[in-house]
Amino acid sequence: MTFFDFIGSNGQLLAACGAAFAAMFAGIGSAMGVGIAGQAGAGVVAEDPDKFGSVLVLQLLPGTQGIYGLLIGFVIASKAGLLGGGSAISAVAGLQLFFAALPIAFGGLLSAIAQGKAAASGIMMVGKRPEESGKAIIFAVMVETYAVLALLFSFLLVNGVAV
Amino acid sequence: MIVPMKRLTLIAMQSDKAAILEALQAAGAVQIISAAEPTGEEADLAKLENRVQRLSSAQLLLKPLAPKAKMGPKPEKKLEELRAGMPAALQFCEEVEGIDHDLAAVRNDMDKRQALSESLLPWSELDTRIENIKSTNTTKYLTGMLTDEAVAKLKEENLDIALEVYGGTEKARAVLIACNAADYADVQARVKALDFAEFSFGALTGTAAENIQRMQAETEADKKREEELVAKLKTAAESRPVLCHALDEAVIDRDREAAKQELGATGTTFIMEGWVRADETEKVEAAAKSVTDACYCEFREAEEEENEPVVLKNHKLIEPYQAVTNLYSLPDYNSVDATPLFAVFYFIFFGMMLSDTGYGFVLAVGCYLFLKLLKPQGMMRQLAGVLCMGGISTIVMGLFFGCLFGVPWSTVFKGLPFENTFPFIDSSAQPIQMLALCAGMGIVHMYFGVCIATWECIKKGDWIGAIGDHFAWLTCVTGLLMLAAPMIGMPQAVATAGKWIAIVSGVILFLAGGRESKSIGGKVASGAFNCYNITGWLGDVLSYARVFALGLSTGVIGLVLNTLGGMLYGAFQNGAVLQAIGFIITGVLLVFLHAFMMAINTLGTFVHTARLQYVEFFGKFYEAGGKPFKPLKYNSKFVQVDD
Repeated sequence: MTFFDFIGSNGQLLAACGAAFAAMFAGIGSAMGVGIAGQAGAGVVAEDPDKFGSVLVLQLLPGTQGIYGLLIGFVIASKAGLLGGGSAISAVAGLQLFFAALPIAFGGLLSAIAQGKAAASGIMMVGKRPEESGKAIIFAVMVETYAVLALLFSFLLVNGVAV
Repeated sequence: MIVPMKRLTLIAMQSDKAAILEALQAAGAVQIISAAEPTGEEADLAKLENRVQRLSSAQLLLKPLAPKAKMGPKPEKKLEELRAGMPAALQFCEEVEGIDHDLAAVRNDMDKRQALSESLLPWSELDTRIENIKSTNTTKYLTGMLTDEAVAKLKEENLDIALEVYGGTEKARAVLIACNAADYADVQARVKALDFAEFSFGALTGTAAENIQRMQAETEADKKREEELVAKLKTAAESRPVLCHALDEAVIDRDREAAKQELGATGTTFIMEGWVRADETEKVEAAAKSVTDACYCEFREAEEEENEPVVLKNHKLIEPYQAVTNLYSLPDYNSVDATPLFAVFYFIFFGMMLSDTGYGFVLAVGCYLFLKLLKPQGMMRQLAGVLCMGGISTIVMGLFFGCLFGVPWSTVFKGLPFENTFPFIDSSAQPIQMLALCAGMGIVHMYFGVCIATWECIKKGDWIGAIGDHFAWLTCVTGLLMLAAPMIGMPQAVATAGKWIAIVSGVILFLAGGRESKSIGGKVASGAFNCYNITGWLGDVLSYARVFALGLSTGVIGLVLNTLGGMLYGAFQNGAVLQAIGFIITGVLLVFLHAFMMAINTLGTFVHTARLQYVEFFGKFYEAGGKPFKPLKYNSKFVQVDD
């Protein structure tokens, strides 16, 4: 049995790969985004600990992509029977599930980093003008739109795969 | 609704000025406008400002040491009570400042000594008394730091010097060089070339080791002193509320004095100009008259170029949503307050996005208790109100489109006659239906925005703008939607009608878009650009897909958590005791995880719902840029001042 035969007869493997991609890349993105925002946040809170609340809200915003990735990963895993109790799926279905994972994997990865940067700038803004924190939140949320769209499309694709 | 404003002109005697301002501050209803000429009482203001600053920094200083403030409504205080406490508070403030000053001095001493004793450390092997290392007529001494490498090089050079090497590190070795006075310049140049860093002992006496020992003893004493001072501060911190309350009072006094600076004046009378809410004119007049009858109040409509400040007033249930409006920007005084217009949409979209009856219940009850028990003020109260209502909406929408703590309704209602009634649309099984519903609601939302814009134009008499800039979009989009009618089984005639409606609307939009331009080319270009905005509508409709996506995300993540909990519980199956332990562990973990996800999802829901209002809805009609109404009043942070 060649490597390609092995892949071809094992749809679950491809599906697992897709689920892992979704959870992993979106998770990496969120970790980086939240980290970037957190660094900026520590600076602002060092000056004025009372701003912790509004800074924390901004820091959390890039965290949702990781959750979206987990969501798609879970849906794929359960569809491919990877959470126990499922039967083997075809290689085509597995490949379809793999591709379905890509929008949220990469959309999530890059949008979370970009959102982290927008949130970090927003945190700086809160440091100078705390009364404008609502606007800083809106700037960061603008970026998230594209993560939501990626999530949506990944979900529609996963939903459309027949196993 | 935007509250109508009146312009106030008040004329009264100079002697009554202070009393009238006090009465107006208590009424909290007048925003004073700066008069043309300043009156020159800046010194008083500076004094009061200074008092605010001192109290503020003293209470901040004590904050980390003070016992944690208990959550709860602000204590209520009478203004007289606050005033009476001021002298004692100022004295206390001075004490705190004194302690802080001493503490800073002690710490500074310790730091200096620490640095000096560290620099002396390499010299501790030098057992000559420092005051004896004095250059004479025949012999010169050099003390300083050299690297080991440089020391070796210096030795190789065979100069006529005596070289002693003491402690330190490889990179900085303490060395003492003695040479003939005649060679001094030469030796100095050579060692400089080897990066010799000269070290001066200054006015120290005794050996280096003795000095280090002495300084250690002094540091010990200072440490004791520092501890004493910190303990004093800690004791003082228990009385921090005294400072906080005095700070509130100081701010109130300062604000009134600052307002006084804004007044115009003649010899014996003063003139005050300001803004008053049209519904509070009587209150203001009464406040002024309560001080003296010798004053004159006039209220008039604003003239052109006088920009009225904006304050919103709404029904008790809608009022919390003003927080959402404020987060964006207040409306222009001459436009319309969007708060009552979007409140219902906010309520519904919030519920659809959070869409978990369990979370909604926790959120509603939690926020209700927060409002009732802790009595938050201002923005906090409004946000809690928005979330509380959002929770109620979520309870209902969760039943229609969601689940209960991640458990599907079919499991919750198992065995009951309406087992399969809920949810009406299951996002994960029927995503297309749910998407269509969200897009449909989005179109209604945006149509409503267009209608408001149209109405605003008509009110101003601009019929061409009303139809050409706003209403034609509504018909154009409707026509395009009708094109798709046959796909859901409607007759072909509907599609044909839609086609013509869209074409006619498109022509109107094209003509209206170009009406401002002068040249034919310009008209065509701006008309075409106006029509191109249809792509914006497409994007806006798609944007409502977030309602579906966030709702889905709450449901699926809840399911994930429950599945994980089930796996964990499944691992404890041997014997009743183990099962009980497993039940407790799983229960605690699930409560924690659900609480965490609820917090994240509520945050996401709040901001995404707000975004739908700001971008998709406000974008159609809203005119931002109102200046907030800031009346002279009691701006207290720590206590609730009542008269």
